[in-house]
Amino acid sequence: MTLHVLWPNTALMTVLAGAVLMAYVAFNGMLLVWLERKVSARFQRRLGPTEVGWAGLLQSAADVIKLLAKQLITPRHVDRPLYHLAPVLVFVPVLAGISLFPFDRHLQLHDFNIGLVLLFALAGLGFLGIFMAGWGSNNKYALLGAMRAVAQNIAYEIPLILATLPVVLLARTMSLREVVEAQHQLWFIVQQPVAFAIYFIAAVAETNRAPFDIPEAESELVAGFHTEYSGMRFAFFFLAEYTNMTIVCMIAATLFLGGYIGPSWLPVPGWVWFFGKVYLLLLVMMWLRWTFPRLRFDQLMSFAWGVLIPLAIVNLLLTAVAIKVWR
Amino acid sequence: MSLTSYLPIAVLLVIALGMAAALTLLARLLGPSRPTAEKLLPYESGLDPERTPQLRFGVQFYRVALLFLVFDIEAAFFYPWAVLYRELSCSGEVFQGVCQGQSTPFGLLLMLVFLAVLVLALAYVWRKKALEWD
Amino acid sequence: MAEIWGEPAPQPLAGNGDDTYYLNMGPQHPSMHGVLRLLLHLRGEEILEAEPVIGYAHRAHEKMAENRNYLMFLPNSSRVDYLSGMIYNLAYCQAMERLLGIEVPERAEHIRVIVSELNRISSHLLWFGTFLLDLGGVTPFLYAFDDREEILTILERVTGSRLTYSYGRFGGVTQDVDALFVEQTLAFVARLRGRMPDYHALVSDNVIFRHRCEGVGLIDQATALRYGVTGPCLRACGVPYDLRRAEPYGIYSRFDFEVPTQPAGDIFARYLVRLAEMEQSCRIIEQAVAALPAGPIMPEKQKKRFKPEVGESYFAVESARGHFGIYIVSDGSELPLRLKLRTPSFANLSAVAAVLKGTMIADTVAILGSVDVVLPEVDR
Repeated sequence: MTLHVLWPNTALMTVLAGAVLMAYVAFNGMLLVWLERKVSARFQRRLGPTEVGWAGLLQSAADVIKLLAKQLITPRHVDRPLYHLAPVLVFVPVLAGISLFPFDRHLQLHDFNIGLVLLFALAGLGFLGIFMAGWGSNNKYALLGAMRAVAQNIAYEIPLILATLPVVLLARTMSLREVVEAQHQLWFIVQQPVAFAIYFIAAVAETNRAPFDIPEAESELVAGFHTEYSGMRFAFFFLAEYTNMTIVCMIAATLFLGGYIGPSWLPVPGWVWFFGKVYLLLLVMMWLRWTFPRLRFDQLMSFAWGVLIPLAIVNLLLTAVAIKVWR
Repeated sequence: MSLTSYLPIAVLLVIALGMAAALTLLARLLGPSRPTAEKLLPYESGLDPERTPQLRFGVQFYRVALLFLVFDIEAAFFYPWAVLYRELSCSGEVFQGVCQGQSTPFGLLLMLVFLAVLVLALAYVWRKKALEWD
Repeated sequence: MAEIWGEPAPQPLAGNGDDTYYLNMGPQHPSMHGVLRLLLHLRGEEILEAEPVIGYAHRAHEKMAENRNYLMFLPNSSRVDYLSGMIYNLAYCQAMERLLGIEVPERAEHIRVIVSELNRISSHLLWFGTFLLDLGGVTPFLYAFDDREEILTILERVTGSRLTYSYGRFGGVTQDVDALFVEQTLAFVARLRGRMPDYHALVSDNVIFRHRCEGVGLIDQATALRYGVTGPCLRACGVPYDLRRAEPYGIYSRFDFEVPTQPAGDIFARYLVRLAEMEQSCRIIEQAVAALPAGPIMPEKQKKRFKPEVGESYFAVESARGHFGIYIVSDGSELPLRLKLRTPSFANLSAVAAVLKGTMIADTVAILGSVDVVLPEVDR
């Protein structure tokens, strides 16, 4: 049973909602870039951006203008259709992905009964774009980066999915809204701390963030799969990466941290809770990035296959047994 | 749910596509275009690349891709099972006729068999050292 | 390039069966420590062969020496290895003093030791930062540079420059140090000691860091000795060879310090040796500061022109990277007949090439980083 909360029944409404989401994605990207700079600066005992706007808040806006005015270089011998399509294909699914979440009890574009699967399906499209970028660039570093990206992303998608399964078991639904509604008594992180840990580690790897930033390891592959991209095309990759970070944190908040649910005695609207949790998780991701060095590729792979996947399977099994025993 | 309910997603995809196209066009209009021979060289640490990158590549990557296909599809089958787990346990409605509402661990056994195949495959791959990177 | 060589048509798979994946790492690459070019033969991520190609930073220092008088070569000496410029600069002075038979005043000797050890610490700190950067850890890089900045400030006040010092003269040093220098130096030593636990907590005990370093890039003792590896890389193979102890020069024999060694020979061993060396340098600095005598910083009789007797002189010091030797042949004129520089990075880099085989791309960067190669020193 699906709740049509904010069903955009007219074409105009859909377009309007799309425009709002688009604006959010752009704003969120700029905000996160600013936040990353500030957070990294604080970690490294620096100040970060201070000049443009209050506390450097407009630095990202200045960067967008700079990126827009940059020369778009298309290197010779690239595979043109792949090369031009790749940044778009990386960027487009994230917008659709972000539209699936219940931001508040009555603030959701549409609640799909297979919301979770749809999310992972959309995320899968992005990897295709990354590989197209690497293959089409006619560049060895880009190809190596793309190979790494695909191997890494598919290896970590398995523990990611396996870690969400216990939640589905407990909530008996794949609809994101209903998963949140099932957490009124207890957030799922309390029952599933291991699943949350596995999910979060896999999510960091899925978004190619340090210490799993192997596909774009700048000290090894220069810039990895987007080595040959400049200006606005590079910006698409950049924006997609930050939006993907937001999406995986939104999934974590929805599945494990009770989404828009907060302590009922606090007069705080649900969307504040939701975004509060999301940005808190994003800060944790930044904290990880500025603390850890990078893993080596084979270590990364054996960590997924040898540690995360078996652990996730055991956790899933234990959850299933526990449900039986307690019933 | 009918397929039309996915229409908003399609609309969003079109909007994003339009946005991407518009931004690229804008960048093309605003940015300069002064290509030189050196600028258009593929980057390879400042040297002319000797040959195309699209050569034979390490087989490990294909191995991982194959493994992924198996595991990801298996994992995807877990979702409907997870949703219906309690109904599968005979006390629920799906198999009511089979075991007359007794609380048997039917759903659990069902999954165990499925999982056994998965774990066996993983163990086999592990033994064959297909996951080691050299 | 493209205009000279014409259209760089990428070759498809050649029919002769040679389908090795060649990748040029460098000269223009973020972690090639200057302009090293590594031609990698790859199979996926694995390195089948690594050919180092050097010469991109060749400045013909040795040839330049033959075309200018002895004093004019002083600025060159600190530019051979820009990270331990002070040590190289003073080494050249000491080589000339041996050739000319000049006595160095006590105070100058002590100052030389203090600034040399400060220079060594700054080089090790820079290595620490850039090595972690190679491994993908950005934060330690900024911490290390923050500490290094202190040294540069101290040395800038005394010598007037921050990187390529021409502080030594034949017989002494150019500028005397004052009480503030002593105060700042001791303050820095205290600060560095306070920072070391943080470095260990942030880096040495980090699981990922240990996985990247332990057992990787093994240079065994035999290989190291065969290639003439010196410095921290050799000491990380368990050979306690340090010129300050093995063939003491200047006044190093007076100080009480240890030569840290590690048995393993892997990246982590090299890391530990360098971190321990910083502490030993601190100890030397403290002793030299405590014993700093009053007096002149140059000999009383100073010559304007230097014409050594016909003969030759070899002088070697322990730089931050290892055994640095200067060999000067004099024909009695104002210009050296031949000046040969034995730089540690060249030998160390040769050993790296032997070690890289069979590792992965990510290891290349880590191993090269751990050896601490300064490319201009290799090319000279």
